[in-house]
Amino acid sequence: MAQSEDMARFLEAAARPLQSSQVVDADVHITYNSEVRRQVATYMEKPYRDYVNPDTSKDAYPSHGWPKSLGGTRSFQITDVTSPEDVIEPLFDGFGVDSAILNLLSPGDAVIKTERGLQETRAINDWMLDTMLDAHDDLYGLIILAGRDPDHAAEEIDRLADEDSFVGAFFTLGQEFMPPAGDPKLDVVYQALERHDLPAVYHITGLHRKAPVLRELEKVSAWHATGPAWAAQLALTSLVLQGVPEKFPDLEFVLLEGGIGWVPGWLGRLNREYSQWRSELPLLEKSPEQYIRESMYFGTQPLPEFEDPEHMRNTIEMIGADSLMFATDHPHYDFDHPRAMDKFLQHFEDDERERVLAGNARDVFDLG
Amino acid sequence: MSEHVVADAGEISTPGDRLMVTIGSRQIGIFNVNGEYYAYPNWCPHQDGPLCAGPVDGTTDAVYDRETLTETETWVKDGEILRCPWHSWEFDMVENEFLHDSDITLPSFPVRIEDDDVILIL
Repeated sequence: MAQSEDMARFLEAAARPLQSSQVVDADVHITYNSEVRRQVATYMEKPYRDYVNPDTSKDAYPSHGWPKSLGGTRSFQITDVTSPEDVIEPLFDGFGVDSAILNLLSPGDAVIKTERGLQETRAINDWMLDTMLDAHDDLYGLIILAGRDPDHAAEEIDRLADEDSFVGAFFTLGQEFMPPAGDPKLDVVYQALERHDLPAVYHITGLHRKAPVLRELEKVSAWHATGPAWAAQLALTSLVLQGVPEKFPDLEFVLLEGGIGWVPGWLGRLNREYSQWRSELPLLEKSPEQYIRESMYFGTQPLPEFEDPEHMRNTIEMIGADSLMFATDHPHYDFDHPRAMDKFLQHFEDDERERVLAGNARDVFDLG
Repeated sequence: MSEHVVADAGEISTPGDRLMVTIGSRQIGIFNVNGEYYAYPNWCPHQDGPLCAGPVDGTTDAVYDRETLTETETWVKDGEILRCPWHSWEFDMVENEFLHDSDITLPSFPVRIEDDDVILIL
Protein backbone atom coordinates (compact mmCIF):
# COMPACT_ATOMS: atom_id res chain seq x y z
CA MET A 1 0.00 0.00 0.00
CA ALA A 2 2.84 2.33 0.88
CA GLN A 3 4.16 1.84 -2.62
CA SER A 4 0.94 2.83 -4.33
CA GLU A 5 0.71 5.90 -2.13
CA ASP A 6 4.22 6.82 -3.16
CA MET A 7 3.29 6.31 -6.80
CA ALA A 8 0.22 8.49 -6.39
CA ARG A 9 2.36 11.21 -4.86
CA PHE A 10 4.87 10.85 -7.65
CA LEU A 11 2.22 11.18 -10.34
CA GLU A 12 0.75 14.17 -8.58
CA ALA A 13 4.20 15.73 -8.41
CA ALA A 14 4.88 15.07 -12.06
CA ALA A 15 1.58 16.63 -13.00
CA ARG A 16 2.07 19.63 -10.77
CA PRO A 17 3.59 22.40 -12.76
CA LEU A 18 6.63 23.90 -11.12
CA GLN A 19 5.18 27.27 -11.98
CA SER A 20 2.86 26.86 -9.01
CA SER A 21 5.82 28.22 -7.09
CA GLN A 22 8.18 30.98 -8.00
CA VAL A 23 11.78 29.84 -8.35
CA VAL A 24 14.78 31.96 -7.40
CA ASP A 25 18.16 30.58 -8.38
CA ALA A 26 20.73 31.67 -5.79
CA ASP A 27 23.83 30.53 -7.66
CA VAL A 28 24.43 31.30 -11.33
CA HIS A 29 28.00 31.69 -12.53
CA ILE A 30 29.24 34.11 -15.08
CA THR A 31 31.96 32.36 -17.05
CA TYR A 32 35.23 34.22 -16.77
CA ASN A 33 36.45 33.29 -20.22
CA SER A 34 38.53 35.26 -22.71
CA GLU A 35 35.52 37.07 -24.06
CA VAL A 36 34.52 38.39 -20.63
CA ARG A 37 38.09 39.16 -19.60
CA ARG A 38 38.56 41.23 -22.74
CA GLN A 39 35.52 43.31 -21.75
CA VAL A 40 36.50 43.53 -18.08
CA ALA A 41 39.96 44.75 -19.07
CA THR A 42 38.41 47.83 -20.64
CA TYR A 43 37.31 48.92 -17.15
CA MET A 44 40.91 48.80 -15.91
CA GLU A 45 43.98 50.99 -16.17
CA LYS A 46 47.46 50.00 -17.19
CA PRO A 47 49.43 48.05 -16.14
CA TYR A 48 46.85 45.63 -14.75
CA ARG A 49 44.55 45.96 -17.73
CA ASP A 50 47.20 44.13 -19.73
CA TYR A 51 47.27 41.27 -17.20
CA VAL A 52 43.56 40.67 -17.61
CA ASN A 53 43.20 41.15 -21.35
CA PRO A 54 43.79 37.72 -22.95
CA ASP A 55 45.22 39.41 -26.05
CA THR A 56 48.14 40.80 -24.06
CA SER A 57 48.55 38.20 -21.32
CA LYS A 58 48.82 34.50 -22.05
CA ASP A 59 49.23 33.18 -18.51
CA ALA A 60 47.05 35.55 -16.56
CA TYR A 61 45.94 33.23 -13.77
CA PRO A 62 47.62 30.64 -11.58
CA SER A 63 46.82 27.14 -12.78
CA HIS A 64 44.16 25.38 -10.75
CA GLY A 65 46.52 22.41 -10.79
CA TRP A 66 43.78 19.88 -11.13
CA PRO A 67 43.33 17.57 -14.15
CA LYS A 68 39.65 18.18 -14.26
CA SER A 69 39.02 17.43 -17.90
CA LEU A 70 38.90 13.67 -17.68
CA GLY A 71 40.68 12.26 -20.68
CA GLY A 72 40.20 15.64 -22.29
CA THR A 73 36.55 14.84 -22.87
CA ARG A 74 34.74 16.41 -19.95
CA SER A 75 34.58 19.98 -18.79
CA PHE A 76 33.19 21.49 -15.63
CA GLN A 77 31.23 23.84 -17.88
CA ILE A 78 28.02 22.69 -19.57
CA THR A 79 28.02 25.96 -21.45
CA ASP A 80 29.24 29.50 -20.97
CA VAL A 81 27.38 32.39 -19.35
CA THR A 82 28.72 35.63 -20.78
CA SER A 83 25.55 37.53 -21.62
CA PRO A 84 22.03 37.99 -20.19
CA GLU A 85 20.65 35.67 -22.88
CA ASP A 86 22.86 32.88 -21.53
CA VAL A 87 20.81 33.03 -18.35
CA ILE A 88 17.40 33.92 -19.70
CA GLU A 89 17.15 31.16 -22.31
CA PRO A 90 18.26 28.10 -20.34
CA LEU A 91 17.11 29.13 -16.88
CA PHE A 92 14.09 31.39 -17.30
CA ASP A 93 12.69 29.85 -20.47
CA GLY A 94 14.01 26.31 -19.96
CA PHE A 95 14.10 25.54 -16.24
CA GLY A 96 11.23 27.77 -15.11
CA VAL A 97 13.47 29.96 -12.98
CA ASP A 98 11.94 33.38 -12.30
CA SER A 99 14.91 35.28 -10.86
CA ALA A 100 18.61 34.55 -10.91
CA ILE A 101 21.37 35.80 -8.66
CA LEU A 102 24.61 36.01 -10.58
CA ASN A 103 28.14 35.76 -9.33
CA LEU A 104 31.61 35.27 -10.71
CA LEU A 105 34.18 33.17 -8.88
CA SER A 106 36.54 35.92 -7.87
CA PRO A 107 40.08 35.97 -9.20
CA GLY A 108 40.73 38.68 -6.61
CA ASP A 109 41.97 36.28 -3.95
CA ALA A 110 43.69 33.95 -6.43
CA VAL A 111 46.09 36.19 -8.34
CA ILE A 112 49.48 36.97 -6.84
CA LYS A 113 49.45 40.76 -6.96
CA THR A 114 47.09 42.34 -4.48
CA GLU A 115 46.56 45.60 -6.37
CA ARG A 116 45.73 43.74 -9.55
CA GLY A 117 43.26 41.54 -7.65
CA LEU A 118 41.51 44.58 -6.20
CA GLN A 119 41.31 46.43 -9.51
CA GLU A 120 40.12 43.32 -11.28
CA THR A 121 37.26 42.61 -8.85
CA ARG A 122 36.16 46.24 -9.10
CA ALA A 123 36.22 46.06 -12.89
CA ILE A 124 34.26 42.78 -12.83
CA ASN A 125 31.58 44.43 -10.70
CA ASP A 126 31.29 47.37 -13.08
CA TRP A 127 31.15 45.06 -16.10
CA MET A 128 28.56 42.84 -14.42
CA LEU A 129 26.35 45.81 -13.65
CA ASP A 130 26.57 47.28 -17.14
CA THR A 131 26.41 44.07 -19.14
CA MET A 132 24.37 41.60 -17.13
CA LEU A 133 22.29 43.26 -14.44
CA ASP A 134 21.01 46.32 -16.26
CA ALA A 135 19.68 44.08 -19.04
CA HIS A 136 16.80 42.39 -17.20
CA ASP A 137 14.74 43.11 -14.10
CA ASP A 138 15.02 39.53 -12.84
CA LEU A 139 18.80 39.37 -13.05
CA TYR A 140 20.46 40.24 -9.79
CA GLY A 141 24.11 40.18 -8.86
CA LEU A 142 26.48 39.86 -5.95
CA ILE A 143 29.29 42.33 -5.36
CA ILE A 144 32.47 40.34 -6.00
CA LEU A 145 35.02 40.89 -3.25
CA ALA A 146 38.63 40.12 -2.53
CA GLY A 147 38.83 39.19 1.13
CA ARG A 148 42.58 39.78 1.19
CA ASP A 149 42.07 43.53 1.59
CA PRO A 150 39.09 44.05 3.91
CA ASP A 151 39.22 47.84 3.79
CA HIS A 152 39.02 47.78 0.02
CA ALA A 153 36.20 45.24 0.18
CA ALA A 154 34.26 47.51 2.53
CA GLU A 155 34.83 50.46 0.16
CA GLU A 156 33.59 48.36 -2.73
CA ILE A 157 30.40 47.57 -0.82
CA ASP A 158 29.91 51.26 -0.02
CA ARG A 159 30.51 52.13 -3.67
CA LEU A 160 27.92 49.71 -5.08
CA ALA A 161 25.36 49.11 -2.34
CA ASP A 162 22.94 51.68 -3.73
CA GLU A 163 22.64 49.79 -7.01
CA ASP A 164 19.33 47.95 -6.66
CA SER A 165 20.46 44.99 -8.71
CA PHE A 166 23.36 44.20 -6.36
CA VAL A 167 21.72 42.22 -3.59
CA GLY A 168 24.64 40.90 -1.55
CA ALA A 169 28.40 40.49 -1.41
CA PHE A 170 30.34 37.49 -2.60
CA PHE A 171 33.41 35.79 -1.17
CA THR A 172 35.16 32.98 -2.99
CA LEU A 173 36.28 30.45 -0.40
CA GLY A 174 39.37 28.34 -0.65
CA GLN A 175 41.40 30.67 -2.79
CA GLU A 176 44.91 31.34 -1.71
CA PHE A 177 44.49 34.82 -0.26
CA MET A 178 40.96 34.58 1.12
CA PRO A 179 41.16 34.65 4.93
CA PRO A 180 38.93 32.37 7.01
CA ALA A 181 35.36 33.65 6.79
CA GLY A 182 35.25 34.55 10.47
CA ASP A 183 38.66 36.23 10.59
CA PRO A 184 38.25 39.37 12.74
CA LYS A 185 40.03 41.41 10.09
CA LEU A 186 36.92 40.92 7.92
CA ASP A 187 34.79 42.63 10.55
CA VAL A 188 35.07 45.90 8.65
CA VAL A 189 33.44 44.15 5.68
CA TYR A 190 30.65 42.74 7.83
CA GLN A 191 30.12 46.17 9.33
CA ALA A 192 29.68 47.60 5.84
CA LEU A 193 27.26 44.83 4.87
CA GLU A 194 25.20 45.36 7.98
CA ARG A 195 25.17 49.09 7.31
CA HIS A 196 23.69 48.47 3.86
CA ASP A 197 21.46 45.57 4.92
CA LEU A 198 23.12 43.19 2.48
CA PRO A 199 23.84 39.49 3.12
CA ALA A 200 27.30 37.90 3.03
CA VAL A 201 27.47 35.10 0.48
CA TYR A 202 30.24 32.50 0.33
CA HIS A 203 30.92 30.17 -2.54
CA ILE A 204 33.23 27.21 -2.33
CA THR A 205 36.10 26.38 -4.62
CA GLY A 206 38.10 23.19 -4.54
CA LEU A 207 40.31 24.26 -1.62
CA HIS A 208 43.27 22.31 -2.96
CA ARG A 209 45.57 25.35 -2.91
CA LYS A 210 45.04 25.68 0.83
CA ALA A 211 44.75 21.96 1.53
CA PRO A 212 47.31 20.17 -0.65
CA VAL A 213 46.27 16.83 0.83
CA LEU A 214 43.30 16.98 -1.55
CA ARG A 215 45.68 16.49 -4.49
CA GLU A 216 46.76 13.17 -3.07
CA LEU A 217 43.28 11.75 -3.54
CA GLU A 218 44.06 11.27 -7.26
CA LYS A 219 40.42 11.03 -8.35
CA VAL A 220 38.53 14.12 -9.44
CA SER A 221 35.44 12.62 -7.82
CA ALA A 222 37.23 12.18 -4.49
CA TRP A 223 38.44 15.76 -4.50
CA HIS A 224 35.07 17.07 -5.64
CA ALA A 225 33.25 15.17 -2.88
CA THR A 226 35.50 16.46 -0.13
CA GLY A 227 37.09 19.79 -1.04
CA PRO A 228 33.94 21.89 -1.56
CA ALA A 229 32.11 20.45 1.45
CA TRP A 230 35.21 20.99 3.51
CA ALA A 231 35.51 24.59 2.34
CA ALA A 232 31.90 25.21 3.38
CA GLN A 233 32.45 23.55 6.75
CA LEU A 234 35.50 25.71 7.35
CA ALA A 235 33.57 28.87 6.55
CA LEU A 236 30.56 27.94 8.67
CA THR A 237 32.75 26.89 11.58
CA SER A 238 34.91 29.98 11.38
CA LEU A 239 31.92 32.32 11.19
CA VAL A 240 30.11 30.81 14.14
CA LEU A 241 33.01 30.14 16.48
CA GLN A 242 34.57 33.55 15.86
CA GLY A 243 31.23 34.97 16.87
CA VAL A 244 30.46 36.87 13.66
CA PRO A 245 26.66 36.44 14.08
CA GLU A 246 27.00 37.71 17.65
CA LYS A 247 29.07 40.71 16.55
CA PHE A 248 26.70 41.52 13.68
CA PRO A 249 23.28 40.27 14.75
CA ASP A 250 21.43 41.80 11.80
CA LEU A 251 23.64 40.15 9.19
CA GLU A 252 22.56 37.11 7.18
CA PHE A 253 24.93 34.56 5.66
CA VAL A 254 24.52 32.28 2.66
CA LEU A 255 26.76 29.32 1.83
CA LEU A 256 26.67 28.17 -1.77
CA GLU A 257 27.67 24.86 -3.35
CA GLY A 258 28.85 23.23 -0.16
CA GLY A 259 25.97 20.77 -0.34
CA ILE A 260 23.58 20.16 2.53
CA GLY A 261 23.90 16.51 3.58
CA TRP A 262 26.60 17.28 6.15
CA VAL A 263 24.79 20.22 7.71
CA PRO A 264 22.70 18.36 10.35
CA GLY A 265 25.79 16.58 11.61
CA TRP A 266 27.68 19.82 11.80
CA LEU A 267 24.99 21.48 13.92
CA GLY A 268 25.39 18.76 16.51
CA ARG A 269 29.15 18.74 16.29
CA LEU A 270 29.52 22.49 16.77
CA ASN A 271 27.11 22.41 19.71
CA ARG A 272 29.27 19.79 21.33
CA GLU A 273 32.51 21.68 20.70
CA TYR A 274 30.94 24.78 22.18
CA SER A 275 29.83 22.98 25.35
CA GLN A 276 33.31 21.58 25.87
CA TRP A 277 35.36 24.66 24.91
CA ARG A 278 33.07 27.49 25.93
CA SER A 279 35.81 29.35 27.78
CA GLU A 280 37.60 29.68 24.45
CA LEU A 281 34.45 31.11 22.84
CA PRO A 282 33.32 33.70 25.37
CA LEU A 283 31.67 35.93 22.78
CA LEU A 284 29.00 33.32 22.06
CA GLU A 285 25.76 33.81 23.96
CA LYS A 286 23.87 31.04 22.21
CA SER A 287 24.58 27.59 20.85
CA PRO A 288 26.13 27.32 17.38
CA GLU A 289 22.93 25.66 16.22
CA GLN A 290 20.88 28.66 17.32
CA TYR A 291 23.12 31.10 15.46
CA ILE A 292 23.03 28.96 12.35
CA ARG A 293 19.26 28.55 12.40
CA GLU A 294 18.73 32.25 12.96
CA SER A 295 21.09 33.77 10.43
CA MET A 296 22.55 31.20 8.01
CA TYR A 297 21.23 29.78 4.76
CA PHE A 298 22.46 26.89 2.67
CA GLY A 299 22.30 26.66 -1.10
CA THR A 300 20.80 23.26 -1.89
CA GLN A 301 23.17 22.31 -4.70
CA PRO A 302 24.68 19.75 -5.15
CA LEU A 303 21.69 17.80 -3.83
CA PRO A 304 22.70 14.63 -2.00
CA GLU A 305 21.42 11.44 -3.61
CA PHE A 306 20.56 8.91 -0.94
CA GLU A 307 19.29 5.52 -1.97
CA ASP A 308 16.27 5.95 0.27
CA PRO A 309 14.37 9.16 -0.60
CA GLU A 310 13.10 9.24 2.96
CA HIS A 311 16.59 10.19 4.06
CA MET A 312 16.44 13.31 1.94
CA ARG A 313 13.17 14.21 3.60
CA ASN A 314 14.85 13.76 6.98
CA THR A 315 17.77 15.91 5.88
CA ILE A 316 15.49 18.75 4.81
CA GLU A 317 13.54 18.46 8.05
CA MET A 318 16.68 18.54 10.16
CA ILE A 319 18.08 21.62 8.46
CA GLY A 320 14.65 23.17 8.13
CA ALA A 321 12.90 24.72 5.16
CA ASP A 322 13.65 28.13 6.68
CA SER A 323 17.39 27.63 6.12
CA LEU A 324 17.52 26.28 2.57
CA MET A 325 17.81 28.18 -0.67
CA PHE A 326 17.44 26.57 -4.07
CA ALA A 327 20.42 26.98 -6.41
CA THR A 328 21.18 25.50 -9.82
CA ASP A 329 24.91 26.26 -10.11
CA HIS A 330 24.31 26.83 -13.82
CA PRO A 331 26.32 26.46 -16.06
CA HIS A 332 28.49 23.93 -14.23
CA TYR A 333 28.34 20.20 -14.89
CA ASP A 334 27.03 19.36 -11.40
CA PHE A 335 24.01 21.69 -11.62
CA ASP A 336 20.59 20.85 -10.18
CA HIS A 337 17.34 21.29 -12.08
CA PRO A 338 14.54 22.92 -10.02
CA ARG A 339 12.50 19.77 -10.49
CA ALA A 340 15.17 17.72 -8.73
CA MET A 341 14.74 19.90 -5.68
CA ASP A 342 10.97 20.08 -6.01
CA LYS A 343 10.70 16.29 -6.08
CA PHE A 344 11.95 16.25 -2.50
CA LEU A 345 9.61 19.02 -1.40
CA GLN A 346 6.37 17.19 -2.19
CA HIS A 347 6.06 15.94 1.38
CA PHE A 348 6.31 19.43 2.78
CA GLU A 349 3.72 22.13 3.29
CA ASP A 350 3.19 24.52 0.39
CA ASP A 351 4.70 27.42 2.27
CA GLU A 352 7.79 25.38 3.15
CA ARG A 353 8.18 24.39 -0.49
CA GLU A 354 7.82 27.99 -1.56
CA ARG A 355 10.42 29.16 0.94
CA VAL A 356 13.03 26.71 -0.31
CA LEU A 357 12.36 27.40 -3.98
CA ALA A 358 12.04 31.17 -3.74
CA GLY A 359 10.88 32.78 -0.51
CA ASN A 360 14.05 32.54 1.56
CA ALA A 361 16.13 34.00 -1.25
CA ARG A 362 13.53 36.67 -1.91
CA ASP A 363 13.65 37.73 1.75
CA VAL A 364 17.39 37.47 2.35
CA PHE A 365 18.30 39.25 -0.90
CA ASP A 366 15.32 41.58 -0.60
CA LEU A 367 14.38 41.04 -4.24
CA GLY A 368 11.95 43.56 -5.63
CA MET B 1 13.69 17.58 54.73
CA SER B 2 16.54 16.27 56.81
CA GLU B 3 19.58 17.94 58.31
CA HIS B 4 22.94 16.23 58.33
CA VAL B 5 26.08 17.24 60.20
CA VAL B 6 28.69 16.41 57.63
CA ALA B 7 31.96 17.98 58.85
CA ASP B 8 33.67 20.39 61.19
CA ALA B 9 33.45 23.95 59.97
CA GLY B 10 37.25 24.16 59.98
CA GLU B 11 37.42 21.64 57.17
CA ILE B 12 35.81 24.04 54.72
CA SER B 13 36.53 27.46 56.23
CA THR B 14 38.85 28.74 53.50
CA PRO B 15 37.50 29.94 50.13
CA GLY B 16 38.29 27.23 47.61
CA ASP B 17 37.84 24.41 50.11
CA ARG B 18 35.53 21.59 49.21
CA LEU B 19 34.06 18.53 50.84
CA MET B 20 32.64 15.44 49.20
CA VAL B 21 30.07 13.75 51.37
CA THR B 22 27.93 10.66 50.89
CA ILE B 23 24.45 10.56 52.35
CA GLY B 24 22.58 7.39 51.62
CA SER B 25 23.18 6.75 47.95
CA ARG B 26 23.84 10.41 47.20
CA GLN B 27 27.26 11.97 46.70
CA ILE B 28 27.23 15.68 47.29
CA GLY B 29 29.98 18.26 46.87
CA ILE B 30 30.08 21.21 49.27
CA PHE B 31 32.10 24.24 48.19
CA ASN B 32 33.29 27.37 49.92
CA VAL B 33 33.03 30.00 47.21
CA ASN B 34 34.41 33.29 48.46
CA GLY B 35 32.96 32.64 51.91
CA GLU B 36 29.55 31.40 50.74
CA TYR B 37 28.64 27.72 50.86
CA TYR B 38 27.11 25.78 47.98
CA ALA B 39 26.18 22.12 47.75
CA TYR B 40 25.47 20.26 44.51
CA PRO B 41 25.15 16.62 43.50
CA ASN B 42 28.34 15.02 42.25
CA TRP B 43 26.76 14.54 38.87
CA CYS B 44 27.03 16.22 35.50
CA PRO B 45 23.86 16.20 33.40
CA HIS B 46 25.95 15.83 30.24
CA GLN B 47 27.09 12.21 30.54
CA ASP B 48 26.76 11.52 34.28
CA GLY B 49 30.36 12.52 35.04
CA PRO B 50 31.60 13.24 38.58
CA LEU B 51 31.16 17.01 38.34
CA CYS B 52 32.20 17.86 41.88
CA ALA B 53 35.56 16.15 41.46
CA GLY B 54 36.55 18.68 38.79
CA PRO B 55 38.77 21.71 39.16
CA VAL B 56 37.42 24.99 40.53
CA ASP B 57 38.48 27.80 38.25
CA GLY B 58 37.39 31.05 36.67
CA THR B 59 36.49 31.57 33.03
CA THR B 60 36.73 34.05 30.17
CA ASP B 61 34.18 36.63 29.26
CA ALA B 62 34.29 38.89 26.24
CA VAL B 63 32.82 42.11 25.00
CA TYR B 64 32.78 43.31 21.42
CA ASP B 65 33.04 47.00 20.65
CA ARG B 66 31.09 47.65 17.49
CA GLU B 67 32.70 51.06 17.03
CA THR B 68 36.30 49.92 17.09
CA LEU B 69 35.55 46.35 15.94
CA THR B 70 37.64 44.93 18.76
CA GLU B 71 36.96 42.03 21.08
CA THR B 72 38.27 42.26 24.64
CA GLU B 73 38.53 39.13 26.75
CA THR B 74 38.61 39.24 30.53
CA TRP B 75 39.08 36.62 33.26
CA VAL B 76 35.98 36.50 35.45
CA LYS B 77 34.27 34.52 38.20
CA ASP B 78 37.56 33.30 39.61
CA GLY B 79 36.86 30.51 42.12
CA GLU B 80 33.19 30.30 41.10
CA ILE B 81 33.38 27.92 38.17
CA LEU B 82 33.39 24.16 38.64
CA ARG B 83 34.63 22.36 35.55
CA CYS B 84 33.50 18.79 35.00
CA PRO B 85 36.56 16.53 34.86
CA TRP B 86 35.06 14.48 32.04
CA HIS B 87 34.19 16.94 29.24
CA SER B 88 34.94 20.34 30.76
CA TRP B 89 31.39 21.61 31.00
CA GLU B 90 31.63 24.81 33.05
CA PHE B 91 29.24 25.12 35.98
CA ASP B 92 28.68 28.45 37.68
CA MET B 93 28.24 27.54 41.35
CA VAL B 94 26.99 30.98 42.36
CA GLU B 95 24.34 31.26 39.63
CA ASN B 96 23.54 27.52 39.48
CA GLU B 97 23.81 27.27 35.72
CA PHE B 98 26.05 25.78 33.08
CA LEU B 99 27.74 28.55 31.18
CA HIS B 100 27.11 27.22 27.67
CA ASP B 101 23.38 26.85 28.37
CA SER B 102 21.84 28.66 31.31
CA ASP B 103 18.71 26.51 31.06
CA ILE B 104 20.70 23.61 32.44
CA THR B 105 20.76 23.81 36.23
CA LEU B 106 21.32 21.38 39.12
CA PRO B 107 19.42 20.56 42.28
CA SER B 108 21.08 22.61 45.02
CA PHE B 109 21.08 22.01 48.73
CA PRO B 110 21.23 24.56 51.54
CA VAL B 111 24.30 24.50 53.77
CA ARG B 112 24.68 26.25 57.10
CA ILE B 113 27.42 26.50 59.69
CA GLU B 114 26.24 26.11 63.29
CA ASP B 115 28.35 25.62 66.40
CA ASP B 116 31.37 24.68 64.35
CA ASP B 117 29.39 22.08 62.38
CA VAL B 118 28.72 22.02 58.67
CA ILE B 119 25.05 21.16 58.28
CA LEU B 120 23.69 20.00 54.94
CA ILE B 121 19.94 20.12 54.43
CA LEU B 122 18.44 17.58 52.04
